[in-house]
Amino acid sequence: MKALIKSLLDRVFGYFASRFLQPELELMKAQQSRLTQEVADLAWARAAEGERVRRPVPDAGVADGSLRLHLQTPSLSLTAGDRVSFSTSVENVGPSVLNVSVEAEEPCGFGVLAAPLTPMPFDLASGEQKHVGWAITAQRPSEVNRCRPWPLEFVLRVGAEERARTCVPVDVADPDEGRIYYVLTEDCETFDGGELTGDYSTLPDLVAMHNRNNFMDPQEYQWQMVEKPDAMNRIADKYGAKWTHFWCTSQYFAAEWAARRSSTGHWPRMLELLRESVRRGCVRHEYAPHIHFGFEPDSALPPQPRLIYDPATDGVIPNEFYDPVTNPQHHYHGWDGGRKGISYVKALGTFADGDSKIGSLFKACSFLARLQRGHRQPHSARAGACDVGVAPEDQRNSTLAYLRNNLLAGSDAGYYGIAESPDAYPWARQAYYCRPDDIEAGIADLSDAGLVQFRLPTVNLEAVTLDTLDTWFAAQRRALLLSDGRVAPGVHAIVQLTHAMVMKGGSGRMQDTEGGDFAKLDGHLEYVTASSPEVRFGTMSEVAVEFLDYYTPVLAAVVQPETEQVEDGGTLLRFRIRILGSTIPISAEHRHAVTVKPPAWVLPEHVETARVLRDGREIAKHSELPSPCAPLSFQVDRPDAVYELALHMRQAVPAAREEGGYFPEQPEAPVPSPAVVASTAQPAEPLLEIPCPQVIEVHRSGAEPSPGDSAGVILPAGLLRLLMHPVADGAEPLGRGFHPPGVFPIAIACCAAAAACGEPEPFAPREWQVEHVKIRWRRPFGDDCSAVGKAQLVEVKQDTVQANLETFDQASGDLLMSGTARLRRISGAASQDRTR
Amino acid sequence: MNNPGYLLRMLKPTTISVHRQKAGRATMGDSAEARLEPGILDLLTCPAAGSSLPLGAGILPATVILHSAAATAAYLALGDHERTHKTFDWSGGELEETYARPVRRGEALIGRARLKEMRRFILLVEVETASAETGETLMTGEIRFVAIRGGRALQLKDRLLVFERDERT
Repeated sequence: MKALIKSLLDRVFGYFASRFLQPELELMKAQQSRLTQEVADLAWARAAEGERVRRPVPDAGVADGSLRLHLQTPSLSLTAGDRVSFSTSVENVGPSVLNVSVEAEEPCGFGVLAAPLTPMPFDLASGEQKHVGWAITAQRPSEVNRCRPWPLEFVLRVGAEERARTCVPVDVADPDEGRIYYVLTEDCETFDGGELTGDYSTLPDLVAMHNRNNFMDPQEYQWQMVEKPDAMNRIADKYGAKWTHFWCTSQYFAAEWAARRSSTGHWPRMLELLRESVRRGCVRHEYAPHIHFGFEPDSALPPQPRLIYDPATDGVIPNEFYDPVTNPQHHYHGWDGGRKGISYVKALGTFADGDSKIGSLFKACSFLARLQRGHRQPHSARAGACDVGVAPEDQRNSTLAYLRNNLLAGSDAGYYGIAESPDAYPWARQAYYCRPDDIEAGIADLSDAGLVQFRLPTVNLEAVTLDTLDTWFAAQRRALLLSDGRVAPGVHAIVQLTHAMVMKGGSGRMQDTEGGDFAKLDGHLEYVTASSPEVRFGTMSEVAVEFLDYYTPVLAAVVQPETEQVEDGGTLLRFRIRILGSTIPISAEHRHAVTVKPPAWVLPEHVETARVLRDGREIAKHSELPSPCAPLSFQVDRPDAVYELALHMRQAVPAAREEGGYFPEQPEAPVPSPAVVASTAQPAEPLLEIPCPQVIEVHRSGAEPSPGDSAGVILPAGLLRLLMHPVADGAEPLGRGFHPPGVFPIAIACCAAAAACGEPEPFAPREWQVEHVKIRWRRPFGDDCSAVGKAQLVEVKQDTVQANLETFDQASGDLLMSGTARLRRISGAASQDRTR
Repeated sequence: MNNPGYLLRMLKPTTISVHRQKAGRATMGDSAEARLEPGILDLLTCPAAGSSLPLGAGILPATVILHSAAATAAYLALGDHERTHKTFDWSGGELEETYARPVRRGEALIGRARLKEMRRFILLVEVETASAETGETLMTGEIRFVAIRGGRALQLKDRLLVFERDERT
């Protein structure tokens, strides 16, 4: 009787629980069992802090000798998207049992979903066997689970007591072809080659290229951190390729330090050139943190003084940079210090502590995020000398510091680890989830997933011949293909590395940006685009986001900086939020607790309130940011909704500049030289600004134009305003007779067509000229309109291409013009005829 | 030192001729010619204030100015400057143009236009642009105009072509 009453109570409670509490219970269950983002970082943050507790999985079958749990089949082999019926059965070989149930425990990562088709609990008479049906959904490919079948566990309970447990491995094939991204990276810093800076006797060609004056001077900064990276960007633009410049922010801060001591006037100009290079380049390329901490001028760590300024060369060098006897390995040149044999930036620390891992990274992230505002937020980093430490606890702290700064990926592995072939890499790939305490190793279990690691290549661009480089690339690509030639499922990266400072032009002089290694880069990208049309280009942060979208075990979210809108006179910032985990189920039954972090340039003191909006309506509100990069939590329960982050600022924020935004943390006073006393702390305001047009995207399948190649360019507002108004007391607009509103949308789309053709100067084309246009104006072109011109090649003939054109208002997305254009190549031969 | 007289000089486009079949209104077959001096092109094809790019980077001034000269002539032929009422605006709706080559710096242009046909909503204007120096035809094509009021295209009626009458009367 007691058992019967207990059974009835369980059933009644079970009904109410399923009717009223189920959604909350499901959410709680999800939060507990799927390692949701309790604090900020992704699941691996907890793993990194050693909090993961793995439950032992008992063997299948009989638990107490009377009840047996059987599976319809020992394993399942499905394709993502499949929904199949599956049966478990419970056999009772003992006396009658009441209140029996079978529960499915879905694997971490949402790979397989299981819903019961049989009412539970149930009673079993002696000798009775009960079939329990399940609807199984193959939700995510096994590739997400490191190519291993998803473990779907069935638990047999009597009341609340577990009696038996068994597991059915479910292999889920991905019907879609995978994606390969080629990630071009370079460490952007300076090299001098002087004998007091290192022993480079084995690299005579490299040394000969530099001025060897033993200091990092403005000339080296200009050519190695501005001109060469710019030239590499231009070459990449021809092929739609993208660079990830791991930009040595501490060298920028050292340049600021030098500017306060120099009287030449070179350094303030150099600082502006450095900033402009990033602003200009970030439209298509990425600038991510790279800290050689020896250059950090504001540190209290040894050695002191931090830097040495040399008036004779107007150069700067870190103190104790190199000594052939006592310091042959530049032991202050790393970050953690472990890889250099010293203890350097060790403490995990805080955002405010610049000598800690979190604080030093934040200084770099915040600086670069401000420069790239409106375009990019760095989500990847590479430590100086790839020095994230050696000891597990040091690597774990480095991992946590990356995560706290919203850095989703690192690219430090492979520099010290030896793996000559892709087979020897973790996951046999260059991109993988690394262990928090050992970045060289891949995770063993999806619940440990955290930082994405982009392993360094074994071949560096500048160090090998073009043939070797192409052969290396082909081998990397081949390793990612299936036997039928298709790309293996998943998101893959081929990572290349160089340093702009060692890219040698044809003449061998430091300032040469043509020929030599630059021609090699050009030839290599031509080979890549021609031989591997399935390979795409992406910055490391872009690819990290795509990687997470495919592999993340829990739903995650990032702000999309390019969607920034400044409203209410500058006191409201709105960003679209991208939800990562595209194959994770989202519904009222599958609600997810997610966090999103504001861009790193947004400081807590700027923000009054932060709200998360779903389709324009507030769903979460945070009255203040507890720290920079603070995780702001909200729930995701609708897959098609638009989620936004709205930041209400304490003071008005100027709009991001089109060519790369900049919102100074504090008003920037001009850097005074000893000979000039600054008379004002006011930042200079422009009298007239006409931003440059920019190429925002180029998709090309090869070096020659092909049908389907496309490009997008943006023409910021500015020039139209100048032409549409009288100047200097004139009676009529400056552009009278030019008809700017009519010709602008045509011209900008034709520039996009030129870019799609590979024109190196699409805004003032030299190789292509417009021969014929046929267009329709759709809407008026307003004075303040920034226009986005897009073009796609539809036909390629001998010396001519036909392109479809569209021009949009960037702000509203309204179509301003559409039509076609024919462009003719001015010189050189075109490829064979191709028609889409 | 050679002193050109002006640091910067830009001239308004000038009317060369307007041929009307009937006074006080535009009629199909009317034509016009306008001259566009090179000042605006020179301004847009040169870098300004230390920039490495010309001021007109992104707007292909040496190409689209061929349209500009013709459009100026087209507005003359339409009598846009002669209308006493401004209850609607002529606006380009579509165009199809073929360009022989971009304009050279310092090259003045002659734009020509002839009203070709009036349809229900569009008025077709034949256009061409020639080099003022060489007479070489640099562009030929057709611009289709619409009459816009309140953001909407008006149905074209003969009375819209009359210069001194409000089309509502």
